[in-house]
Amino acid sequence: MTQATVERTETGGEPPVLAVRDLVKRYGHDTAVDRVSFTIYPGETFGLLGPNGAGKTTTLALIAGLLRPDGGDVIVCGHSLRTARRLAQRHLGVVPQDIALYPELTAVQNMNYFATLRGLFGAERRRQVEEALELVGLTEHAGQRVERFSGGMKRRLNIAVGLLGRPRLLLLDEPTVGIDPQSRRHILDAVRSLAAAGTTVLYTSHYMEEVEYLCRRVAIMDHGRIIAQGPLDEVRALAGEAVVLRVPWRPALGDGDMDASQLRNVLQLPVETVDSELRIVLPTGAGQAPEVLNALVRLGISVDGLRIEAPNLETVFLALTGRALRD
Amino acid sequence: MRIVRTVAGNQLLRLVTDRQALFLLLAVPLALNFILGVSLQRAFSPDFKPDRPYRVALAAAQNNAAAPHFREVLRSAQEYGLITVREAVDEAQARRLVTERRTEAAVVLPPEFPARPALVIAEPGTVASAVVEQVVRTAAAAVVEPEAAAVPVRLDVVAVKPHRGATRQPGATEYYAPGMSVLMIYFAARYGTLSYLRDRATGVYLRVRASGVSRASYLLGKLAGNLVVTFLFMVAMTVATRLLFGVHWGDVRGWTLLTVAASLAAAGLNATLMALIRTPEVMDGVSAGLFQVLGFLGGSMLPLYIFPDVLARISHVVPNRWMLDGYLTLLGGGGPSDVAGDASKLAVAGFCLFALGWIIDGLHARSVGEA
Repeated sequence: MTQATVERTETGGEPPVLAVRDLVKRYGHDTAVDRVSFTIYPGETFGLLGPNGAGKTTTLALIAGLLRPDGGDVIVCGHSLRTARRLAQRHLGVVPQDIALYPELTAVQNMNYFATLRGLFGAERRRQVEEALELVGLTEHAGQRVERFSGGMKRRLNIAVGLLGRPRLLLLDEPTVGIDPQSRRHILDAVRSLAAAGTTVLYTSHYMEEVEYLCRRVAIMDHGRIIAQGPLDEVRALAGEAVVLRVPWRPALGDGDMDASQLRNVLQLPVETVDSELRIVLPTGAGQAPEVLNALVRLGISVDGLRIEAPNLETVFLALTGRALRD
Repeated sequence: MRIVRTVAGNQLLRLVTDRQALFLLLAVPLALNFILGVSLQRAFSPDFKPDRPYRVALAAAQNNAAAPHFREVLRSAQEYGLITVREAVDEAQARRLVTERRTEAAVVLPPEFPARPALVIAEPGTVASAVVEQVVRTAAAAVVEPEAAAVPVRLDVVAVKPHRGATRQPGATEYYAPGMSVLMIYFAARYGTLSYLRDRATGVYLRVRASGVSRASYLLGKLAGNLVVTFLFMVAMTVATRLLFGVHWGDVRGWTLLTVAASLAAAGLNATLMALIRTPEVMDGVSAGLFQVLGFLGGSMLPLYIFPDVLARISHVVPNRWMLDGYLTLLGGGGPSDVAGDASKLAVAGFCLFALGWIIDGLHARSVGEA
């Protein structure tokens, strides 16, 4: 698949905070990250979108300097990870996808530990710990053991730890996985506050609505490669006239015995099943809908309702890969 | 060094705040110490007498001048109620009586005794074998005085090695205080090992490495934490058994020397396991089994002197045995020089295991492309 690249918007000619150049990571014969390149400018919140297994976390581990790339380079605030890893890492804050905390310790004990590892001591450490806890709304729970926190509170503390050392670039890996809507909203607002305060953010997710909410520029990854990137509107436009036809899908109640791949072959269109729903990309727009609906009825699928959706990042992904952005 | 200190300190803090882990770590060995100490008290006592005498077959060459003395000692044991003696024609019949379970043990006194050793035939690992062995030793010593130190007794069970420098044998509670401690010392060291593997699994490791901490510093911090936790665990066990059971662990300098070496060995073994087993869940299961086997082989569960020959030979290469031998020597009145040998073996083993774990972890990190 060729990469659909939209012309980059640069911010006032400032040097980028992060420049990823032709990054490659292989595990044996598998290429987890395949010539990935993108650039993030100061103050930007850049979205890296892709389904699970697309290579987002490996890309983040490469940017964080944990993994050695097999090709390409990562430049953080002008420092190459290949030649000046420690200098580059000083500007990085990482929020892993998992809750990277010690549950038996209190929030502030966790913060103090990671702060000390970053070289923060005394009054400066105390100040930064307080600031970070306040930003994520956990000041009142500072002395509470993390094991007593709700999932959302743990996620917020996970982010707070990433803010220690006041990194210029914050790497957030799926920070809202498995939490309630209220906590998700809290986290998204916190990320927005950070961006407003000038922190550059690389935000990875497979939730396209989060990326659309937070980011002005995005890259979409699949199978280790970036298949589209650029400003949000322009990436959305890659879907062209395409819309998504959403039809209820209940095979157990007699909606035929075909699966998504069989339907894809029959209809010759990108088709995916998500949460009891068929999502079919109509590349030339809503005008294709009657023809497709007739085909579905002929295949024994009862069309109890339908919805036609304007193009969004999911449409783009579906249009480009034939698959949905989902778990 | 700052990183190493911070990581090690964090490990200690986490153990102290993890009340459940702390409780299990201390309560289990103390409870076992109490249970085994009380239930096996009689077996360790010089006044030990079984519920019914052990049946012993004696095949003694008639032309042996030592035979009457030997019989005399056996008769004393019989009168005391330890054993009952029946005569066997020769060694073959004596063996048959044991294998057919018509006697618990047999004693064979060859014509050349004491030039050739006496033989005790018994099922390995039984209390009967240990008791009869002790009786035969006493008899042999009485016959060949003053060379009692080189007791000419060959056994199908393990030969008892007197503890160097020790002047008295410990009782059951005293035995199981170090016995259970050296069994649990690996579990104390495992706390940090599991933590390292969990850190790798949960993203803590990624976070720490991304903040500029090297793998070497982090691993060294974890291993240093293991050492500290293990040493403190032994301090706690020593204090607790002193207060609860009145166990005197002996010479403080000897104890310190041995405990540092034992901590190194326990942490070293954990380092190797950590490098070989990459997931905390598997480490949890495998290590628990392994540590118990080591504890058994090292004499933590059954007293070393009742070990069968084959296990006794194996136990000589098990670090727990070195630890326990060392602590029993101290308990028996030995000093630092008496435990220097065991401490040296433990320190060397610990260092080698550390190095092995370090190298394997490095190779693994390289194989996954870690920077």
